[in-house]
Formats: sequence, C-alpha cells, structure tokens
Amino acid sequence: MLNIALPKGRLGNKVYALLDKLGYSCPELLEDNRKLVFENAASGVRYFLVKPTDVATYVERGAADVGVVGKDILREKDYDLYELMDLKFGKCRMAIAAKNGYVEDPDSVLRVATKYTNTTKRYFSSIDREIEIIELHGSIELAPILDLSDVIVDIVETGSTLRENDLSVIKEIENISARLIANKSSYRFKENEIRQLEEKIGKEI
Amino acid sequence: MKIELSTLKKSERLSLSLRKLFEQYSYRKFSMNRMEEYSFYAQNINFLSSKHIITFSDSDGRLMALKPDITLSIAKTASTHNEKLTKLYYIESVFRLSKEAGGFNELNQMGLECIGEITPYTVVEVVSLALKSLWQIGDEEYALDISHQGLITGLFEGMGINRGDMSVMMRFIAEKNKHDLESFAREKGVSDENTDKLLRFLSISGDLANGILELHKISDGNVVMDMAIAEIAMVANAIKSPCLRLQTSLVSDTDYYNGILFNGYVSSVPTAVITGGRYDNLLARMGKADMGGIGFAICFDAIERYMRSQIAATVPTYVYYDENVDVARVYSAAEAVTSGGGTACVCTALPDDANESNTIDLTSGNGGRR
Repeated sequence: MLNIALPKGRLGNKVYALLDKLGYSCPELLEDNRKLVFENAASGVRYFLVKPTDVATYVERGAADVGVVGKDILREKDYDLYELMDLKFGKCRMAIAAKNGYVEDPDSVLRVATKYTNTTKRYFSSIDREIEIIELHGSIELAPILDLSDVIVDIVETGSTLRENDLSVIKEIENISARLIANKSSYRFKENEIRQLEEKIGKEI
Repeated sequence: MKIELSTLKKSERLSLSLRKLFEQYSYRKFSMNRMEEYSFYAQNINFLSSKHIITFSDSDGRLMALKPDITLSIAKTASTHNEKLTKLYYIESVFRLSKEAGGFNELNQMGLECIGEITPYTVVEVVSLALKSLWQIGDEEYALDISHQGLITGLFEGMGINRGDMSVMMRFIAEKNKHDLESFAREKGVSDENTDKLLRFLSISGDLANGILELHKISDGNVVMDMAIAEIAMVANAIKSPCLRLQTSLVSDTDYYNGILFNGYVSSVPTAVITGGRYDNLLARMGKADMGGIGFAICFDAIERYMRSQIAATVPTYVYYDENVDVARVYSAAEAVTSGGGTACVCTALPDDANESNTIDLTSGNGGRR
C-alpha cells in the first residue's frame, strides 16, 4: 500500500486526475464529503488530503510515503526527503514586486513583505542587500500599497492580482512547479512501488 | 541481580544488547565529559549536522559548549599508544537543535569508533556491526545503505567540476533530484555525455551486484572511482547480506569523510537510525594524518519515538492507611506485596480503580484485604 499525501485544492485535484489516469484510482476521493483519508486496496493506494504547506511534513515524518508539493514550500524549509520529479505543472514564479513606478533607494534598508521569509533572506543575502523582513500570511500585495513595505516577495502565476493592485514584477527569483517527493525510509522499503510510480508519471508528463 | 526486561524502554534494552555485541568484538566502553571548548567546534563547524550549539562561560572565562557531537571529541583525544588500533564504543548524550522539539534537545546516542590503522578487515567489521545493530533494533525490515566518498569525488574530478559547483550538485544527488541536477549541469556547461553520467549515477540504488556493474560503466577507467568500487565490492563480498544495499545518493562533506559511507534504516522509522563512515580527513585536519578512523552512531531517540515498546502495564496493590495505623504495619504490608513480586502503592486516599481484589485496607476496623 502506497500512502500518498495530496495538497487540498486545485493542485491536488490536478495531481489526482493524473494518478487516476495511471491506475492509482480511488473514486471515493471525488465524492462530495469531508473525509481526509481515502483508500482503495485494489489500486494499492491510500490518499491523505492535507494543507499544501503540510505535505512535505507528512512525507518527511513518514506518515505518507510520497507526496506532491510546490517547490516554493520545499525551498522554505530544510526538509530531509527525496525530491524525485518535476511534475511540470502548477508552474509559477517566485518574484519581487513593487508599486508601479517604484524606484529603489540603494542607500536605505529595503523593507520586504513576504510569507517566504527564508527564501527572501537567502536571495537578498546572495546579492548582499540589507533588508528588513515583514512576515505576513496573506494579502501580501496590500503591504506596499499601505507603505508597510517597499517591495514584496511572493509567487506570481498570471500576474493579474498584481495588475489589479497597481503592482508589477521587478525581478524574478526562481521558477516554481509541483514536485514529487518521497520519504527516505519508505524509498528503501517500497522502492519498487515508488520507482514504478515515477516511471508511469515520467511517461505521462 | 534479576532484571525484569519487560519494564525497560526499547532504547534501554537495545543499549544492553548492543553493549554485548560490541564487547564481543573487543570494543571498550568509553565515557567522556559533556563539555568541550567552543573554539574546538568553531574550527570544525561543517562536520556538525547543525551549526547551533549551546554555549556558556566557564568560571575561568573560557567559552564552553555542551557537546553536539561525540566523534569529534573522540577524534581529538585519539592516540593509539601501544595499540595499532583503538576500538571504542560509547553511550552518551548530545545537545542539538531539534526540528521536532522546536529548540535544543538532549539526544541519546550509542556508537562505536575505530581509530588508528584501518585495515580492510576493520572496514568490514564496522559495516557488519552496523548491520547487526540494525537487526537488533528488531523491526520488520531493515536496510543498510552503503556508498563511498571516492565515487563522487572521482566522478566530479574526472569531469573537471570546481568545488563550488560540486557542492551544489552533491546536494541535488543527495535529494535524488534529477531535474535540478540536469538543469544546473547544463547551465554550467557540463557536456551532454557527462550530464548523462551524472544522471545515471544518481539513479543507482538497491541491489549491490547490479549497482557495481553500472558504476563500472560510469567510471570507465576513472582510477579514484575504481578504487571506491573495489572497496564496496570487498565489503559486499565479505558480508553477503541482501540487507546491504548500494545508494549513490549517500554523500558527505569531503573535508571530513574519505571512504566508505553508510546509513541504516528500519521500516518503522522515517529517518536514518544509523549514520557512519570513514573519516581519515577529519583526523588529518587535527594533525593526525598517520591515523585513520571509521565508526557509526545509532540515534536512540528516533527509535524510541517511532517504536515505543509496550511496557507491561503494572497493576499495583494499594496499601490504604490513615493516621491511626502504625507506620511499622504499613511498611510490613508494603514489603509483603513487593517481596512477592508485586507493586505496592501506599496511599491515604484510594484512587478510582481501587477495589477489593487490589487493595489492602489498613484503616480502623479493617485488618486485611478489602
């Protein structure tokens, strides 16, 4: 039995559609209910629906053997796990954005609003820029509008939220997409099942 | 003295059985101080799994640290005196920042170290003891991953990859991250042929015989790689266990490790429970270039956390008394229970689960079992 942690929401739905097509079906998962654990012994899978930011924790601690998570989340923490595949969907960019017309003052400490504090620290440290981090957990775009910050660091998919709030990307930091991850111990004891899953996905994407 | 093993925790029972195992192979127990000067760790910071260390000032003003690692201290104090090889084992606490605890934790470790003239037999003995230790943990399945630092250094040096790029690529190899390794290699101008070799190298895991064949194809006459492959084959041939597996994603800091590397897993624990390898480079950094070192540590805390043993629930006999009862009578009743092998709980108020069969009521008017 392969235990798979899926992120709730759009990404999770897309991943399940792919896995369903590859024979890892669990029709119960498509029913309108509040269950969080779904099992299909015939397909040899058990799915857990968890918050996207928690998928890597479930996999790292062995509650799930494999999972699908955005690269943005993997980059935020130092998880001890395998990153087996780039699934090439859920694509977006980690970027720095500011109000349209913003001109940076290189002589002052840059105020950066973000929920990706570690990614932000790492990037600005790599370019030797002194910053002050303002940690927020949602509506990050509001920070420069209210002059809470000079810029924001966030994931940008289409850029429509930025445009609607008179903001624009001033620098792209890295590309983000969904990744297939595996627990290191599970990889030893369920290696054939995990490699088979990898191969099937590899042929499909 | 008779010891009731069922009352011991998993890690306590394990440490007893491993002591016997290690002593059967002539390892001597070694105890050490829990503190060390901080400057010692500052000089060897990359050897440590976490850079965070608990420090404090000693009465003479020296900055001290609670030990985050045992191998470093053993390597520092190592001297072989009249012996060619010093064989030690330890059961000690280390103090590390723990993701699980969200702060510093005291972690219990048991491990062994061989320092001095490391022969091929020494390597085989240490790897086999790691494998036997995994078996002693007593889980359904276990596996010891083995690799060699020479594989990765030989591969990268053969391709002319610089140290900076090498450390990034080593991280991708440790993550089994083919996609980012491929992008990075192309970005750095690594040829298609060498990129293909890197990706094939990263995919090797599992069966030793097949893995060794594949490694030979990748090596294609690379002397450093060939020596590493030969050492892995020598260990595999001596031990002949299906639980010993090749794992090229097993990599370590080249400043400290130089030979065989291994990590042990059991199926109930999501992280490695044994980590070990050969660390001649660490000894050389400490001015002991004439010595070699190999050893491993077993993380008892991970085992205890995920494999909690079912300690037999003890049902006590309540010895119930009040201020009118003579202490000698209470003592005598408690002794009668414990000398018969039972557990006595002497109390002046009865808990909810007390009943006639498990209570000796000494209060006024009652002289025996309730």
